[in-house]
Parts: sequence; structure tokens; C-alpha cells
Amino acid sequence: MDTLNLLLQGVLTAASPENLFYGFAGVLLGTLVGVLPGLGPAGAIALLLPLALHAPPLAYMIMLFGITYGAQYGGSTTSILVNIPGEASSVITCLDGYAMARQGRAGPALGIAAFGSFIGGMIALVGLAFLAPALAEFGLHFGPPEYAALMLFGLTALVYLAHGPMDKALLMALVGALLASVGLDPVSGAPRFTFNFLVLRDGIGLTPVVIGLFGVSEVLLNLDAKAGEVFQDKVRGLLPSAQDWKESAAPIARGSLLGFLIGAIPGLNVVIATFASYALEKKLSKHPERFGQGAIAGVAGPETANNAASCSGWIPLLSLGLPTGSVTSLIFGALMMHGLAPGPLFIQNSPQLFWGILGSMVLGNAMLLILNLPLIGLWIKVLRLPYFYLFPLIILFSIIGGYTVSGNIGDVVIVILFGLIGYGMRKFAYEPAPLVLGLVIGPLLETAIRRSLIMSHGSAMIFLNRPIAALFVALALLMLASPLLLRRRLGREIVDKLEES
Amino acid sequence: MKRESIVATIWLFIAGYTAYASYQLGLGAGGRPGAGFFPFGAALGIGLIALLRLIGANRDASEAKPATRPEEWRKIFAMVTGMLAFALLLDSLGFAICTFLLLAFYLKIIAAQPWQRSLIFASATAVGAHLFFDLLLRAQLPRGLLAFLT
Repeated sequence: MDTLNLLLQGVLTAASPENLFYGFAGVLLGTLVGVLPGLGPAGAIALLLPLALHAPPLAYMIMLFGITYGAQYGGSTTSILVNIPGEASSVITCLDGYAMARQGRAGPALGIAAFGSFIGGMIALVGLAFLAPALAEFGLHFGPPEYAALMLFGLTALVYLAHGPMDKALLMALVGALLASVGLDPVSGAPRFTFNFLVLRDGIGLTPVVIGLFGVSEVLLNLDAKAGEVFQDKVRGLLPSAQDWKESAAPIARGSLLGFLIGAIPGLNVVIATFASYALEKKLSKHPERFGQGAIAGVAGPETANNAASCSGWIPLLSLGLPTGSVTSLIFGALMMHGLAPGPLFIQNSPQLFWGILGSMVLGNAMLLILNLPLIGLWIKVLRLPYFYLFPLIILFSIIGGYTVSGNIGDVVIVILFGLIGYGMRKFAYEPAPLVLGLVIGPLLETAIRRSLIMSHGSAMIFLNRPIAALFVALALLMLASPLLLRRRLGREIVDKLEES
Repeated sequence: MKRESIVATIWLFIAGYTAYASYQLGLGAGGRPGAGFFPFGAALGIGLIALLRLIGANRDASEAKPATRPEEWRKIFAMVTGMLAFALLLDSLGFAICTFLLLAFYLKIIAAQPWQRSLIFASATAVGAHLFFDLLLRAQLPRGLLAFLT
């Protein structure tokens, strides 16, 4: 009961005019980047990181969270209307969503996607409200060895489920950790890898790096992109019929549960939740042959699962301080910019922020449901916008974002440099997410490892003698070794097979 | 030499250099890890993976996307030149003028749009960006040649 009261308090906090404004801006911007090609939620958050210096912490975090779930809604819209998933989590929606649109049922497809997302988000939010504080309580018993092992586990989990080759993802995580070493040593104060450049003495900032990797490199890759072929018929009848609801109720219920469970496990991501939901619905359906031909259950289940998973995906970050992907790493960085340390003490030390963020998710999801359906016409217009109007604006925002961090041209140069590095990385199938995670948790991981070794007088056995640390280390080693033992990565295998089919 | 082998060799060199530099910083002793301990570990890991990739580079060359075409290189070069020029001229010309020049350059040179469209878009965005960042958000952006307007 206490939890529900706290959640209600959070809703009231999030309902202040200032927070509502930032929340609205977040979900609107999120939907926009979900619809637009070439700029995802990570890129949008990266471009908005410098705003952390000006905006109040809660309002700012509400906006960033709003971008993440707004993008899920926007991604579904393009999947259904254009057959182009705005986000990876909407890939599976293309199969039946676009088929429905071609049969003149774009309205019910968009409607059930929105309602399913709302219901899934709400159910997962209640789960998050109960689970995160309990997990944080457990995390309070962690010492430096447990923290170090937990961060290693989180890093390995991200590497394990990377889209590309696992060794490349691991290499990127290590490069991120190496970049995190640039600047003054946190213990001795000795300069490391600064090459006498003043701009490097404070270390390589997260903001210019992520703006370069996610903003500039995306533009460099998409320079020849053309506006999508948009579904031309007028979208009407957005409310699903009674029959649609009958066919969607069970998939929505199952998608909520499945999405919540998958999202809460570090390393398993939203994409897997959607594919798992689709596979489950097809298996349970009396008419599996209709899947791919416009079955509404094929839209309802995955769309519910992706919002539920994206909501429960915050549990590792908000309860244990464990970022599990590029977006959570950026939010982690944004919290640090406000002097807030995400970790087991976060909920205890910043209850207003934690419950305010959760409360804003209730309001944000409701805003999306109310706003998005009438705004579909606007998103269709946005989809037709030629890319040559978009890319100069993204570049302009990238430069301003890099400059306003410190008012230093050196940071703009870092933005450009990492834009080129990000371009090269994508060309050679190196993912940026593990690099960002390595950069974000590198300093924390280094401190935790060094403190652990000081505690144990230099013995690495401290990571194996303590049960919780040993468990995380064992899980990390298991994930690293499993491709060698099984000749495959389990979660990735499922996704690859479904993507092929 | 295949592209993957070249990339793996570059990683190997980076790992070798950073491992050496980390060793110079001091790895620490007697249960007190030094400033070079953590980067040394990361460099070793990078080196090991790079070495394994170098050995198996022929096996998985198909992972990489197609090589950049000359036309793409031209656009990328123009894009980066525009950004660098913006950074270099920001203090002297000011934000609004730099924004106008950058956008007009991008639309005309990279997107090959007509002059009229390029100039209208660049002017409108420069004015809009000035109003949004300078007046609304009060971001500390240089005004350069237009400083007399304040």
C-alpha cells in the first residue's frame, strides 16, 4: 500500500506545470525521433545532455525518460504505415501492422499498438515500483568487490547480446574503459594519457563523445537517405472494434508479463521481448497461418511487450546503478551530471526524484495515448520531410551540444572526431553502445576494483570468496564462454532466427 | 591486406602503445594498484582480442559494410570541413552568422539544392536558432560580429 501511495505522490509531483511541460516536450520529441530515420532516442538524449546544466534535475530526467518511451510509440507508427521500423523494437510490428494497413486497417493497428503500449507500460510500471526498491535494499549490502563484479556482469551482458560479433562488442567495452582512464587518476591525481592537452585533463566528457557517436555518425551514414514511401490512404477509425479487442486482450496480458520479465533482466533487451511475444502468440494462436497476413494479435502482443520491457528495463539502473544499454548509460551519465549517483542508495537518497520519474511515466504514457492518435496526420507529414532538411539541423544541434558543455572549441573537435570514429565503427560492424557503457562505468569500475584489491592486500580471490561477487563473476564468465561451449549465443540466436523468418 | 586485418592491426598498435604508457604510469605493488593498473588491464584485453581477430580476419570479412564510395567520401569531407570551419570561426563571426553559413553550405554543396532554397532555409534556421538558444535558453553562445546588436 505504501508503494502505491508513493507512486501517487510521484504522479502529483510530476503533475506540476514545470514537470508537465518537460514531460510533454520529452514524449513529443521522443515520438518525433521514433518516427524520423537517422536519429534514435540515444541520439536525441545525447543532443540534450548539455541542457542538464540549465534544467532542474527532476524536470530534466522526466524529459529524458519521456523521450525513451515516446520513441517506442513513434517507432510503431512508422512500422505500421511505412513498413520501416523507426526503432529496432518495432521491427516485428512491420509483419502484421503493415499488412493490416494494406488491408485498410491502419487505424485499428495504430489504435491497438497505442492501447497495448499504454496497458503494458502501466503494468510494468507498477512492477517497477514494487521491485526496484526491494532490489535496492538488497544492493545496500554490496561492498566494492560486489560492485565491481556487478558492473563486470552488466558489461558482459551487454556484450553478450550485442547485435554484431561478440568479440568486437567486448573490444568496444574495453576501449570505452580505456577512454575513461584519460585525465587525472582518481586516487593519485597523476595525469594519464592527456598528451599535455588542457581539454583532456578533466577526462573525455561523455556528452561530446555520445553526440559524436550517435548524432554525427548517424548523419554521415545516412547522407544519401531519402524520405520514406508513406502509406497514402487516409487513416480512419482508430478505435479497435469489439472483435479486435477480443483477439488482442490475451496477447496484451501475456505481452505485459513477458515484456516486464525480459526487460528486468540485465542484458535481455526490448527487441528480444517483442520477438519472444510474437513467437508466443503465433504458437498459442488457433490460426497461426494468419500471422504475417495482418493478425491483430501480432501487433498487440509485441507492442505491449516492448513498452513493458522498456519500462522494467529501468530496474537495474534505478535499483543497482547498473546501466544495461546505450540509453540507460546516457541517463546514468545525465544523473551523474546532476551530482546524483545512481546505485542502491539512489532511491533512499533521492526519493522525490525516483517517485517523480515513475509518476511522470504514468502521465507520459497517458499523454502519448491521448496525443498520438490525433497527431498521426502530423507524423505522416514528418515522414515525408526530405532528409536534406534534417541533417543540417542534427549537425547544428551536435555542434551546439558539444560547445555548450564547457564553452570550449576543443569539445566540438571531440564531437567531430567521435563522429568520424562512430562512422568507421558502424562501417566495420563495431557497436557504439558497449563503448559508451565502458566510458560511463569505467571510473566506477576502476575505483571498485582498486578498493577491492586494497581490501584484500592485492589478492584477486576477493572476487571469488564473497558469494554475491562470485555469483556475478560466474555469470559473466558463463556468458563469455557460452559461444565457445554451445557454438552460439542463446538470446541472439532466437532474434537472428526470427529476423530471418 | 584485407580491411578487417588492417583494423585489427591498428587495434593491436593502440593496445601496445597504451599498455606501454600504462606500465610507465606504474602498475602498483603490495596490494595498492597504481595509476596504470586499470588501463593496462584494458589494453591487454584489447590487444588479445585484436590478435585473435587478426588471426581470424579472413573468416569474417563479410561482417563489415560495403566500402565508402568516392561520392560518399566527398560528402563526408564537406560535412567535416563545414563543422571544423564552424568551430574555428565561431568566436570571431558569432553563432548566428556561422549557423547561416554552415546551413547554406550544407544545402548547396552536399544536398545540391538551388541557391534560393538554400539561402531561405539557412536564414530562417539562423534566426530561429538565435531566438531559441540565445534568447529563450540563454545559452552562452558567442555573438561575434553581431555583438553590437546587444
